[in-house]
Amino acid sequence: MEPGQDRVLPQQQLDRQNLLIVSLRIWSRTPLDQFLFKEWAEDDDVVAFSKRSGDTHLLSPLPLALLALLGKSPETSRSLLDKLTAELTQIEPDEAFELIETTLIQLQDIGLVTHSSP
Amino acid sequence: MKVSDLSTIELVGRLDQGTLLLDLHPFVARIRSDIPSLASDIAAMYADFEVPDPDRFADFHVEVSREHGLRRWIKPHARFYFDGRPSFIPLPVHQAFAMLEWGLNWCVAAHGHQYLIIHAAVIEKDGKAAILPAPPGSGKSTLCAGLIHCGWRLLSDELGLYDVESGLIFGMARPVNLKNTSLDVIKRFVPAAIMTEPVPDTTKGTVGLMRPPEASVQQRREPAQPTWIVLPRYTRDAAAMMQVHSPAQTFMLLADQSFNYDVHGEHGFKTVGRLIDQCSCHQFTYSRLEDADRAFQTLLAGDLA
Amino acid sequence: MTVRPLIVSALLEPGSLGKLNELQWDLLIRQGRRTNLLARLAHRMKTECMIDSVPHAPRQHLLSSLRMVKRQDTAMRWEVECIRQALLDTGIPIILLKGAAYVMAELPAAHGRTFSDVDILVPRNRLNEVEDQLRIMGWRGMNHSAYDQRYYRRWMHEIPPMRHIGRGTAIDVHHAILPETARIKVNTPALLADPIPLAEHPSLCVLKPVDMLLHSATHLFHEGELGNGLRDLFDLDSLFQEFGSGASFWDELLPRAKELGLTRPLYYAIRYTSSLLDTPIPEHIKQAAMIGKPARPVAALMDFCYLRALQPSHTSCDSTGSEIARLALYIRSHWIRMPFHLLAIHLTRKAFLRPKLPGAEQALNNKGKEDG
Repeated sequence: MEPGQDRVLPQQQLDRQNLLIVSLRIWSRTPLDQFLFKEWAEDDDVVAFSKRSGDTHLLSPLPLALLALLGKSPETSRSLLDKLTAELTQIEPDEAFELIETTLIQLQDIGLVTHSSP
Repeated sequence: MKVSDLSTIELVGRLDQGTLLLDLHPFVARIRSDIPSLASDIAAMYADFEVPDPDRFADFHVEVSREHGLRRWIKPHARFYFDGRPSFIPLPVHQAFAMLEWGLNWCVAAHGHQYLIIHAAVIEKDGKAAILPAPPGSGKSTLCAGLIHCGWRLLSDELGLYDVESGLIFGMARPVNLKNTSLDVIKRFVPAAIMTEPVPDTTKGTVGLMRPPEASVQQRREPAQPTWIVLPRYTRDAAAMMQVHSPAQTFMLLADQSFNYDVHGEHGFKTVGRLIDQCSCHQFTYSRLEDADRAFQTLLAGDLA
Repeated sequence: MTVRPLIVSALLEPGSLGKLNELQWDLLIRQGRRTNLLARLAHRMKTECMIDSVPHAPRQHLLSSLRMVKRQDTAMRWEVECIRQALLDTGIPIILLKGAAYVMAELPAAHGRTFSDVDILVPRNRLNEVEDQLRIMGWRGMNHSAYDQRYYRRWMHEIPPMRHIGRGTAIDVHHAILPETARIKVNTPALLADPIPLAEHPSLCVLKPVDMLLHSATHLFHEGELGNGLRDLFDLDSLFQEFGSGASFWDELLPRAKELGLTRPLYYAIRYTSSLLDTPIPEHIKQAAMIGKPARPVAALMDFCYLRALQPSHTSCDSTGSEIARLALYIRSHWIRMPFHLLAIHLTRKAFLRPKLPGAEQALNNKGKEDG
């Protein structure tokens, strides 16, 4: 450890590695008993509370759909895209795929989903 | 005994000794100050509030006094002290009363965790409360100040105290904080309103405080049933429009606008959920207070129908 | 010796509070807030079913404080879990220190306690790995000047604090419990050799009881800012009482203090917990701990300083010499951490930095500015 030397990491390298890794992941839903949910008949959005972290989140239809699908079985982001094709007609397939992956990572940060590698 | 029963000399004396207690139900504050202008502002703005005996329990010990040391003579500044510890940055002495108000808001927001404390105006009619949460630029204070002169009772312009056990909401009916153009708007709308001298150059611009209506002060111990959550959206020259708002979005906004939502944890989530369930959620776009008066009357009537 | 402060009497004998009048409750709540002991008192009273007989207004503050600490307990557990996951693959045993340790080891010292940062202890030769892994998982060094970076890495027993960009929480990564330059030479390898893994998560450890107590004592009696001094003293009281019920604790205490080089802080810990808080310490231990006592003039000076500085820093508890005592201990804390020639540079540097607003007040200040 050199005095005064800042420790810097190759961020771009890490980012590229990350993208590759994400698309190979098998996603599953964590047990829902660690969360509290509240929904309203007239609203498409749902609010969720994580008992473990104490954080509150707003879940819009896409994350809710992903959670519903993962509740049935673990999936990859590719298989999730296939299952949601009918709902995602407004968006280009590439964009939809990226959107699904981003949403999955956000759900992971919240603690609602986890992944395993193949 | 009320503030109005104290002579100026007595008031200044008590402030100097730190023996002035002010009943800000559900809290009591003990106030000390060496600034004479503060005494006259308190006399004007808190005239109808009770003064408990000095041997009573006080929730907060606050002081707004001149800075100590050399600065006191060079460029007089006032400082807010919470139980003897200075808080916030020093401000010019003429901002002393505004500083006291902000300081008291901080005391309640930082310590009053028996309530969910919502950054909102709260007004009441026929036992029903309208909660007006306050993101920036919403015009909440102007709307509140206007409506409380159209038959609505003031619970609060800043801090809604939602009592989880009872599901009722409380307010302290303290002076209403107005700034910049809203000062002119309210002076025109309510010519008889009693206000402090406008205080220019604060961090919020020109600020003035309006004395709360006497009836509101007298009834302040009575809570109200939360019935509507209305997000005000002041928009220049806009026609008044009351629209339904997403409950989930209102939930997130309320959580965000509550000072102590996070402190309440799981309990807080359930509490806000309960509050949303009790109320209908709206967004209100307006530019004229006259329109607001009519719109809120409609809201009230609509609920009775 | 000064009169015992109300907050201390209350904590030692909550049953005596039935006789308090309104002004005394007023003072008690304020002292409790100032010392960060209000929640500890509230917890004690709740556990002993005394809280319902507290008059309404002060009771609200006691209950409010419990809400705060309950939230912080949740936040602490979550933060520890995030750190555990972040560092799991390194295989390095992570020793939790102070508040984090009290919570995860389910110790009474955690009850009613407020927490801020998480402190961990790792072997020095694995420090870079830990720092790298934390950065990958979202922690970043805070805005430290190049000077601060050099200061920390060269002289201190920890790297500069890191903050998680998502959660905003801070972590202090230590490789020793005192700086290398400190007067006391701690036997760090011995300290790192024997941690106790947590049952549920073996990659996380806590120090064994005697080490945990010795670390807490070392931390307190090297600390320069004693705003939480009384609270930390109550931590020690709690640890003595919890661990002291096991026979082997007292047998191990002195030998381990000698082995680690921490007989001086142990002496102070025993002296001030027993005299200020009536902590029950076996007589033979008090005698044995005298080996850590400094020379007579120093001992007298430390008494003067600590018996004042460990009082609540509240106007109700100030006595002649309180300020001088605090200043002396502040200077001493730097003196005992660092050689004189570096100390002069460091303190001069610190004097030019602008003071900051306390975080919570700044947030509320800003919120007020946004009002429409």
